Amino acid sequence: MSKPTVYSPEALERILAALESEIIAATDDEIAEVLKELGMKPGMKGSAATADIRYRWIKARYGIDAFGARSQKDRARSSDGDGAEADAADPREGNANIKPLPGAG
Amino acid sequence: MASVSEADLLRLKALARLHARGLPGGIEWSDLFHEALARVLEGKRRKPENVEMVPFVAEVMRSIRNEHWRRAQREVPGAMDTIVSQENPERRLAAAQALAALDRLFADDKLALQIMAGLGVGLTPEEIRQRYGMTPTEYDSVRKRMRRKLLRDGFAWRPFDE
Repeated sequence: MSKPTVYSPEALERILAALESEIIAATDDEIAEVLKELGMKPGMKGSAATADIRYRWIKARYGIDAFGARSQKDRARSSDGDGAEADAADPREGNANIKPLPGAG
Repeated sequence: MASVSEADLLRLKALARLHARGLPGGIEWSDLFHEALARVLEGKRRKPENVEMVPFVAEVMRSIRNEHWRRAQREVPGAMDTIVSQENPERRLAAAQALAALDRLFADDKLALQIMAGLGVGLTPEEIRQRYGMTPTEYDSVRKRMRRKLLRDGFAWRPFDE
């Protein structure tokens, strides 16, 4: 067994920075493979991997689909105050307007 | 604002899980994730043109993480002079717990633990390879295994270490 990591805040910061770079560098294919290993299907609706991301909350609050451009429909809805807050009450719904991963059906 | 792909959202989720480790006061990855996105979407943090969205949001997460530590420090009487100090006992304990959890994550991979130990003391990849006798190919393949494990952990519905 190798010597364990030195447990200090400085060590944690250095390790988090390195691991952060690894996650950022992960390819779409790697992500899709990991999802497959976990038995999760790429694609938003009903995916356990993303079910805890509050798309509807983000959309209701900011009128933005998948953090992209605001749609005309959203602009119209937020300008007349229709429905946005009601959507926010259900934070765990999926969003079909996100660029899918490789192999998503 | 540039759109974000499903893969980017998953990267951000994994990053939030990573950065939520060792945070005070029961702050969870979801708090970090949604707060970072809110700041970007509200324009409180403006993304420079030449920076990609995922590294930018990751930077915002790091900044929120430090804010949480500052807030926690302020709640300790007499601790104003040690704001965000890494000598703070609570912070040292939280870091130790977070690092122990990361060591558990890679417990079945001796080479990954060696890389973690090397990173922890500030070694460069080259120094880590020399210290532990890894070839460049071995080093890269361990990094790949670590990346996949981080992704698996990051995508899971439940936190693995709490």
